[in-house]
Amino acid sequence: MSGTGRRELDARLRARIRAVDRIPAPDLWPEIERRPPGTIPPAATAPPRVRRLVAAVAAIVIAGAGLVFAGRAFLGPRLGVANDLPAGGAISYVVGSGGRAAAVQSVAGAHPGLTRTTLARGLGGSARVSWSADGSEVAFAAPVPGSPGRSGIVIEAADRSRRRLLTRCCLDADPAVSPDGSSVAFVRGAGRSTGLFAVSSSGGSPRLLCDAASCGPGIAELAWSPDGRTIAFSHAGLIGRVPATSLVGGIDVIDADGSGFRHLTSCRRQRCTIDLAPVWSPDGTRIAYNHGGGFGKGQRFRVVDAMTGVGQTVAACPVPNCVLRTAVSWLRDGREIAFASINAAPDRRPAIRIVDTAAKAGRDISTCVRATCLDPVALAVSPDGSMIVFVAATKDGSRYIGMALYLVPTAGGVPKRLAVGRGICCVAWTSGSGPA
Amino acid sequence: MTWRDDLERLYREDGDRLWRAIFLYSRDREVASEAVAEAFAQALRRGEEIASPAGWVWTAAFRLAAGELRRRSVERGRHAPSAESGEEIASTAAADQPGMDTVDTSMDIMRALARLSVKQRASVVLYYYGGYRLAEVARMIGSTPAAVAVHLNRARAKLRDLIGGGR
Repeated sequence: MSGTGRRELDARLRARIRAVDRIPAPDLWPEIERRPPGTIPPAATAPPRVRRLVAAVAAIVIAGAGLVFAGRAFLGPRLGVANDLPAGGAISYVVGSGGRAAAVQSVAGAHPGLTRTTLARGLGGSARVSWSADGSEVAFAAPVPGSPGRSGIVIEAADRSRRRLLTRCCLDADPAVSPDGSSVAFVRGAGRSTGLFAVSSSGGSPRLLCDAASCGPGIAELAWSPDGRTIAFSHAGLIGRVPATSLVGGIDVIDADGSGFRHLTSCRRQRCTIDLAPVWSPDGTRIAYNHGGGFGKGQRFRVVDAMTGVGQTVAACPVPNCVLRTAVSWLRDGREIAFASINAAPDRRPAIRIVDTAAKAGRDISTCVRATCLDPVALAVSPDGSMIVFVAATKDGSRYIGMALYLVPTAGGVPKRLAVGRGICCVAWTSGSGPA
Repeated sequence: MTWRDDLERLYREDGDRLWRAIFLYSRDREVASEAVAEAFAQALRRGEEIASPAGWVWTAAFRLAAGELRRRSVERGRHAPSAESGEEIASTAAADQPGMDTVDTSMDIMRALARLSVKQRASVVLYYYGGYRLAEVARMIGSTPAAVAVHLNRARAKLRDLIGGGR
């Protein structure tokens, strides 16, 4: 707008507003003379600099109080902070999952305090880690230095004394350390061209156990049997890569030497889309898995006999949902499984559900304290079965992001905060002195 | 000539205009009367410690009105429409000086100003009706000249119908 135009507009506006001069105003002078004066708001008399200073100080105080309040509200101070691991062992987890700076951290120790250690860093986009049974080593996939687009399998001592890059040629992921720690099974490739491989944890050439032509596409979620003779896996690697209508895949098993491949479950027969997250029972006779969990709704938890393939549904995720691809954990007695359940309905609170696989009866461990409820998305059971550590998440759009770890007794009780960090996932509870 | 006489003369010369300005700003007759009366009463008590009575009274009156609007806003949870709307004051004006032009113009102005935010309305009233400069308006409403200029620019955009209406 030109200066002339602006002046013209100003003049017209001024003329318009002056029309209100015709509105009669009351005579207030008698009232002015007799009224006892009150006080003018401070802003009317204080000089601008003083006002600005007061406003700045007030803003800082209010902002500080807001931060403290938000922090306390988010971190749940009323839930208390854990200062030891009453069940012993060590808890490991990944922070920053999904980002290149993802790192493995562990917590261990007893009263009077916990020891928090950052182990491997730079996990890249994959956040799956696998611990050896004694917690002395951890395997994970990480970007290969100097080779963009490639990821290799890394195995690192929990005390950070040694780190080995076992593979570096390809796109390797999903490592699983055998119970005796002697070898690492992993998946090479992605989607329809995956293959199942194993490599000695001390190094050497990987062995092909099964390729996509024999074992099917999308091999993922490798799980060693407790005796180290068999590997169970799903076809979850297909999720997100191919149309949902073509997702067919059950839980399969194969012997550690590459022989004896067999379908343990068949989703095609049961008219579902895909079975996920196989977890061996402590005695190695059964496998619990998520039946039809590829889409987050209608997830059912089934237990199948590892030898005969005879299975049964033992629990369903409470309506409306568990987190997509929810995995169960076995309790030490081998009778019960536990899984995290989020209920969005106002009258259904989040909880950790524990189900007796024989009786199919369940009970809930509340993750709420008064009005504060934590949404659990993943969990691990302590080696002695007395405690559960779970990942509490916050919803970001349509997905949940792990923000903190909490401890709660298996018998129920008040959750205590163990650690915080954006993108926490992949929690595990190892026995012995653990990684710390 | 006493301080009281000076102030009364100021009121007789400028009181009505101040009242109308506060009324335009607050859109409430009661608020306008209370703010103007209180501002002059304060000035009367303070005496000659006030260097520039005219500017002081305008500033005090606007502050008092703003405080009252804030208090009402907190009470109601929002700036509720004033009890005395544009239509009502237009009727009052019409009763005093009959004529459709007066009625329509007053209604137009009240309605148009109702579209503005509180700060924009204060800036427009003080700048266009009060005749104060940007720096003076800024000092009176506790802002900066740059901020007042922004308020005025945005207000002009919203008042384009009124400005260009050609009534």
